[in-house]
Amino acid sequence: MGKTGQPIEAAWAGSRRAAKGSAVILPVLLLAAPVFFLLLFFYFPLGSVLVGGLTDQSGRFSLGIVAALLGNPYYLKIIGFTVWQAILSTLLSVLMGLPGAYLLARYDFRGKRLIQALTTVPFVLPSIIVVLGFVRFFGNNGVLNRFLAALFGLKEPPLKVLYSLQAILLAHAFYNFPIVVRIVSSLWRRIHPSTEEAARSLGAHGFRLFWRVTLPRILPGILSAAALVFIFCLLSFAVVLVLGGGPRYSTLEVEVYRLAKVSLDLKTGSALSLVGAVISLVFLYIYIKLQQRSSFAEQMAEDYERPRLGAMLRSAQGVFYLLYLLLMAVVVLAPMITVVAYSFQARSGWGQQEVSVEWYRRIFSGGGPYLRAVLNSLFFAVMTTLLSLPLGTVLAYVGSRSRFAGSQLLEALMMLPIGISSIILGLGYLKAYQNFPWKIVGSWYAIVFAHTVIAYPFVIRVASATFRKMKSSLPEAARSLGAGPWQLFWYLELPLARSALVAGAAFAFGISVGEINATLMLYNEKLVTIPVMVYRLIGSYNFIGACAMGSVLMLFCFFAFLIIDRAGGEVG
Amino acid sequence: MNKTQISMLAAGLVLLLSLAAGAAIAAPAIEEEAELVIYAYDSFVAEWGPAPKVIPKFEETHGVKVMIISVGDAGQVLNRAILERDNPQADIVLGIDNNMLSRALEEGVLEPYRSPNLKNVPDELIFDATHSVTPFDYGYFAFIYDSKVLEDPPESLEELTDSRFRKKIIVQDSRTSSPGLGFLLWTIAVYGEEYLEYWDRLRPNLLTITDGWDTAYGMFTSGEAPMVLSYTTSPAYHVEYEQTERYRALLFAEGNYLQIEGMGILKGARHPQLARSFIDFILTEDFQEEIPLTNWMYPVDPTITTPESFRYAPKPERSLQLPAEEVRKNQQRWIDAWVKLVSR
Repeated sequence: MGKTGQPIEAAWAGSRRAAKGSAVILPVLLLAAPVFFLLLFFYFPLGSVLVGGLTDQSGRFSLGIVAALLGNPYYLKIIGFTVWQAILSTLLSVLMGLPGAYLLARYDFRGKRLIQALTTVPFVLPSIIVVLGFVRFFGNNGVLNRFLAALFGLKEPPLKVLYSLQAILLAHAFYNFPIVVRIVSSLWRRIHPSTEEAARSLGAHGFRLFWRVTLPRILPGILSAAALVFIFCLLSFAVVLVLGGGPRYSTLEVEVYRLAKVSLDLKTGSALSLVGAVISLVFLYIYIKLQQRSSFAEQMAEDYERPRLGAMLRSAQGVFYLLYLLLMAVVVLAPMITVVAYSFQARSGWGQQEVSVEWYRRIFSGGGPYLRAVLNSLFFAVMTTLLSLPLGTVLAYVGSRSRFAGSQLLEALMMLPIGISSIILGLGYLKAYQNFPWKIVGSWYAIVFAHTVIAYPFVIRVASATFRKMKSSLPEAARSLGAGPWQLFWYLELPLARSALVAGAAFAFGISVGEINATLMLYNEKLVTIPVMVYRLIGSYNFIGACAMGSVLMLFCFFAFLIIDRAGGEVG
Repeated sequence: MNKTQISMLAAGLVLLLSLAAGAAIAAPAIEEEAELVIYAYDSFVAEWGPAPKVIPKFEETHGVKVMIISVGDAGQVLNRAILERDNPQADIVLGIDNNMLSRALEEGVLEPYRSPNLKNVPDELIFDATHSVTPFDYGYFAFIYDSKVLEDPPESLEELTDSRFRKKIIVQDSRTSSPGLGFLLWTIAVYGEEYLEYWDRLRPNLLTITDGWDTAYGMFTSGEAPMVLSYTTSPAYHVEYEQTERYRALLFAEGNYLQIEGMGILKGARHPQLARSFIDFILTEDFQEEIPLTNWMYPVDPTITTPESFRYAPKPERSLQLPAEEVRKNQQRWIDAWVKLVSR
């Protein structure tokens, strides 16, 4: 499909004689599978850990531990900071992502697919690689400061970017702006530009046009993206601690990590994680409520003519976008390039001129553990994508179409997995399935299921933004022509949600490839993934090898995103 | 049928096929395949770690199959044993150090075993009097400095606080990292309850406090700071694999803090006899000689000759250690007070 201006009604008209009686049974069946999956592979393992945080010594229900946490000023301070930095980081990520989403949604240019795939890469990087990239580029001894110092003959590094709140926000924006770019542009490109054209002909321009006309139309997408970015920043910890300059900037997750992994205090650890999950739920609920309120249906199109980007960049408004692209190159590309450059160093330390491809030779020489890690990552990611796509789509569809009281709360609950620390999820898997007749831990499907549980909320958020924008007149028209809900979904709504599902697939893939915490608890020797390999290399002084493996990860994801975009027929 | 629908159908088909294929080759149950199961921390199991060198030796001499499973970092090893207390999946847990010992004993997940080969080990390294945990290697925490940048390194813990090292030191968080905790205990071993005053003097010199050793060391070798908290053996790595002597370990006048690593047999282990043979094995030359270059620690058997590069891994004259019981009783309070101070 995808031919310009093809009336949507025509797409399904030919097959409207298909079965009709399945109107009730099918949705129930459709819903039963995801619910069963979530009960077994999310709520059950989660519950088996959280129950510790909600019971007292004798095993009776008690809010004692939670109350003790909330009465402790230290934890309150940490909770306050965690929420505060997440709000700021979300604002910055949205600001950084919006112009990019606009360019990708509204313009055509050569290499658009490449750029879109490239902008998604930061999202999958392990935090240690991001920290190294940032330190090597922005650090006191980094590329930027060395360059500036040499240029102006300075002794001291002129730019103090790192070890401050700004550094935390910058790194979070680096990580999360791909979410904004992808989700917002996937919605934006489906909204027909006719309204903006009309407004422009009436004299609305520039910021006014954006604020009054464009923003309200893309707001559901922005809210979806913001909800996800917010939760990611809520769960972030290594980046916050290291780039913030130490424990003065600590998030809740540091304490969850300490309690669950170091002090082995699962009771308090899970109670604290529960507090974090409730905070996520509250904010998710607000986002979903806002999204529902701000969504209005309008004309959506599978495709339409887009102007060329080159012409726009040469115009007056092009200056703004050129500056934007330059800024993105510094903030996003430069740290990644620094990591790649490091991977070609012969030995560690600055001032090493010797170049070496030793690590790449090791990685790609057949039969080695590195190549196996790449193949494992590919397998897990493909499986995760294939599982989370239908799971997320069905739940998003049901969520956006139901209007009963509390449906927003239910939708927020379905999003819960990304609000739960993956450390707690991993522990839950270890604890819940140990007496299972069926071996789960140490099997490949344990990893796939854990990844799916973390990934499918992405599909929900992306898809629901689009489902909510679809005109209700479409289903009515379809029904009057004799199409059942199944045909309506299959022939009408699904094709319109295509770019959202492509974005969802890319993120599900990315989550699986980048996941480390739960994987580290569930894998065995045969199931090593790329991030586990990075972690192993770094743990034994092989920083250059880790950067080489990180570069392979970037390249690998870049191609994967290209293929996903192409398979979805996205970006012409 | 349009493109989207075809992709979706194809995706569904692939999913079904892979699920079927997966079910057919379902994950082999651990206990059916192996005769001895060991839980270890990740870097022990890695390709360049000790496991690929020492496990085949044991398998050969005993004619058995050993399965060594990485369960994350050292803390996770004990965590896993506690989680599986009622239904132990492993015979041996590897990686319990002197700071974790009292926790392991308190949980009661280990079965004591006194190996006759302990006669090869100096008394001061036998850190568990109950013999639930048998030592296999040890090391010292130390600050490593870049001799190309720092000409005048500190000679004592106290001198670390000198103003010439402002923002030049990277350490790890005692909440999340074992060297981080080790350093906190080190300062307590030296300054007693006045450790907070020391930390207050040290603070201006800390560039940042990282979540783990890996980030800190990566920043150090990237030239972000000329001093980092690590182990006395770190320079040996750079000599052995990068032929450079630029990174050096600092022995402090007050002494350096000791870390001893051990392993123990789990209560309810399925193969207790074989597990005891393995404990005997770790104290033989076959195991001990591999430790320096694979685990970057010192072997507990003092008769083992260490490789040439270990000349750059100096041992301190004064070794510091707090009693395990004291650590267990006060650890939480010490860390909490520390966090309060450094997050001001």
